Amino acid sequence: MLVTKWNNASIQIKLTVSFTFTLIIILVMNLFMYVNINSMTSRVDEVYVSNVNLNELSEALQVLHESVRGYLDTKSSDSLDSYYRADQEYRELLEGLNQRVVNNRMKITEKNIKAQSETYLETIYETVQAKRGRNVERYKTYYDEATEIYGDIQNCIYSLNNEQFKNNSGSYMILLSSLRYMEIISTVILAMIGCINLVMVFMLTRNMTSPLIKLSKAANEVAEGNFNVEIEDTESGDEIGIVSRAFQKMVTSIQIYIQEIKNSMERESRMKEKELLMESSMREAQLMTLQAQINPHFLFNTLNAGAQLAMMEGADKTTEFIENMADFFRYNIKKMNQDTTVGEEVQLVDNYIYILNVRFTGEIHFEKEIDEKVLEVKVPSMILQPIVENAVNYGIRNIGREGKIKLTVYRKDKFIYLSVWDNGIGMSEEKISQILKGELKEVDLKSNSNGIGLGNVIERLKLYTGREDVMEIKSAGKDEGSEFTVKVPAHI
Amino acid sequence: MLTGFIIMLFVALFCAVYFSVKMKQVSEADARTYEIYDMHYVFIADNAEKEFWNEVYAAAVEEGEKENVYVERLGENLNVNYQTEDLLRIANNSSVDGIIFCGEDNEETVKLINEAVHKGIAVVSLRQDIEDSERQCFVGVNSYDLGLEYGKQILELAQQEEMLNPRICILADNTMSESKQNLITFAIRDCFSEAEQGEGNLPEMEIRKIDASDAFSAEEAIRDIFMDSQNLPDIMVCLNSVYTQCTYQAAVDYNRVGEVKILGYYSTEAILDAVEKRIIYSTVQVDTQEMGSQCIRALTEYHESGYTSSYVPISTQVIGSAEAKRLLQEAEVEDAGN
Repeated sequence: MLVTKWNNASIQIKLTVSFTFTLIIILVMNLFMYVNINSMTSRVDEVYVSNVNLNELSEALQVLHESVRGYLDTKSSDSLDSYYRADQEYRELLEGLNQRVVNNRMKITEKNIKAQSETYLETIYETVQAKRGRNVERYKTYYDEATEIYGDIQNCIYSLNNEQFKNNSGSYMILLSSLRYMEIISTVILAMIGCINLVMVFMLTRNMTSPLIKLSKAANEVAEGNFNVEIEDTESGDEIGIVSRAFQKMVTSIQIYIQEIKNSMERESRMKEKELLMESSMREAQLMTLQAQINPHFLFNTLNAGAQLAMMEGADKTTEFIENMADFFRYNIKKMNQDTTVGEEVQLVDNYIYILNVRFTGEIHFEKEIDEKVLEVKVPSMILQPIVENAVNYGIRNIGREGKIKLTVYRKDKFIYLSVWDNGIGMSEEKISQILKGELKEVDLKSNSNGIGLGNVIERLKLYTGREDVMEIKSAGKDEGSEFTVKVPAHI
Repeated sequence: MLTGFIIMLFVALFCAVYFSVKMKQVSEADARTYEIYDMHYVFIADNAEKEFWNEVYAAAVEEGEKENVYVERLGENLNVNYQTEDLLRIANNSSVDGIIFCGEDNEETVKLINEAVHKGIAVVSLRQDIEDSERQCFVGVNSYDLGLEYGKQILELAQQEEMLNPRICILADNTMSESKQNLITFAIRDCFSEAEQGEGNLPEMEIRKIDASDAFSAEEAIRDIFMDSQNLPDIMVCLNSVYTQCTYQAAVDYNRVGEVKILGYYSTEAILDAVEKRIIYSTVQVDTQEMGSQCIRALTEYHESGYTSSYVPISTQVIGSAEAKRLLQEAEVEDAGN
């Protein structure tokens, strides 16, 4: 409970409590030892008090005896008065003497002095009474007796005084050395408590600063870019604890945020890459087209004029031929930048085959098997004609037998398949893979009618569909013909 | 951190307690605690024969502890060297409860003892009886018994050495009463008579009185005896420990060891040593323990019942060479033990 409270206390409170606590302890200890040593010092001062008392007693006795002597000499009222006073004073001083039987020589001597003094006082009284009664012999006897006792008492006091002085000197030395001893002890104790205090303050400040140092190290690491820093979990509820936890939270948040940014950047860069690729392919296609642009336009206009001339001359076949040619070139011009339908692509192939057949006098036997349902499906433009052209140029040309090309369009599952089959020279597996990887691009370019090679077709299809398996090439071997099948998703 | 506080609190408390204990120890070193007693007796004895009286006093103190009586050795701590009579006066004026007194038997003493008795102070005379006083009790050796002990020794010596009419010198102080002197000489004579030595072989006895009031007279008087070599006695009987020591020292100094037989009194280490070496033939030991304790018992008895027996005899023992050796060995063992 207390520990929790302490842990949750603020630094200000912790520091205040610590310093107050240590201060109080040192103060209390100081006060305690000061009072003790002070009382001892006062005892040292009192050591010789007993000697002083005995001296007073001796003097009082002397005064008393002298006053009696004075009275006996003069019988004056003054001396009587002084006798009474001295008697009173001496009695008062006697009160301070021990009268019990104890096993201490000095105390017993005190008792003896007191008892002798009482006898002496009685004798003195008798002396004075006898003097008053003018009984000369009696008072002389009493006085002699008193003087004898007086001498005994003075001797006893003197002896006791001596012994007490010896004893007191011993006590004084003991007290003095004890005092020094206690002073050393108190100094040692204070030094010890001071040291503990120092250790405590050191520990307290270390407890406070060590999380701060850790925090600053962690902050430095974060500043250097290392976000995987772990700060020791602190239970402390003070300001530093709060800062540490907030820092930990912040680092974690930053980590998450950075991860998110990374992910989105990756996504973005992938998209950008794709876009760039698409754009470059498009540009490539456009470039090809532009290179051939003068020819199609010129040809197109010229062909239109030729078709009109042939129509005027009644040459139907020529008209048809020229129209086909015109369509072919128009398609080339118009459709390059936009998507088209399967139907239009098939139409272009028809035009192309017609032109070729006119050109090569019907050498190419073209068949087609079209699923009418898929004619409206959107596909990129100029994908079918380059394949057919390829089949003509590399497949069936110069084979010496009748060249056949078959176009099949059908739907299977969610895909549209556009297949161009020829019975030409066929191709090796090596070549097939070269084509699919786009490694034969340059060769294609040189001899294509509209400048679009197979490689370009494959590239555009990949970008368009976002898939890799956009074309399949099959060939049974040399002179066994080949089949190019384009696969596009039906929903696009 | 809290642990630190607690540790510090404990250390501070420990230091405070330690400091208090040390202070207390220091205070106690100075402070004296006294025991309170019911009665206050004073022990007054001559300063001569200090060792003897020390033993008696120690025994009295020991007995006093049992009876809750404080026994003060009066005069010991006074700066003036008082005579026993003066000390008796001080004791009287100090209104003590009892006085154990060993001193000269004279008029002054008798007067002071009577005064004390009238004041209600019980008085016991020790070793030396104050015969004419009103003292309650006398604790000491019967002079006749003492004489018999010496007689036996003298007889033994006379027979051993085949002495005829041995000349005996008895050293006594001048305070010793005539009756006591007579009792001693009678007892010695009786010994010879009983031994059927016949009238012809009775010892020649002389009592040398030494002035007790003069501090150094004993030593001088004894040396005088030795210097008079013509009349040197065969046997010297010393009636106190100081005379014994002086005599054997003189015998050694004047090369009279063996020539003069010494019969001593009491057993200090020096006397025992001399007995063992046969410088002293034998010594009569008085039971100091008994002496001390009997004084206290007599006083206490008087206080309790109002009376006590007027004479308490103390037993004596003769110590020969063999016994002296044993006693010395015992003392040695005791010293080593301490």
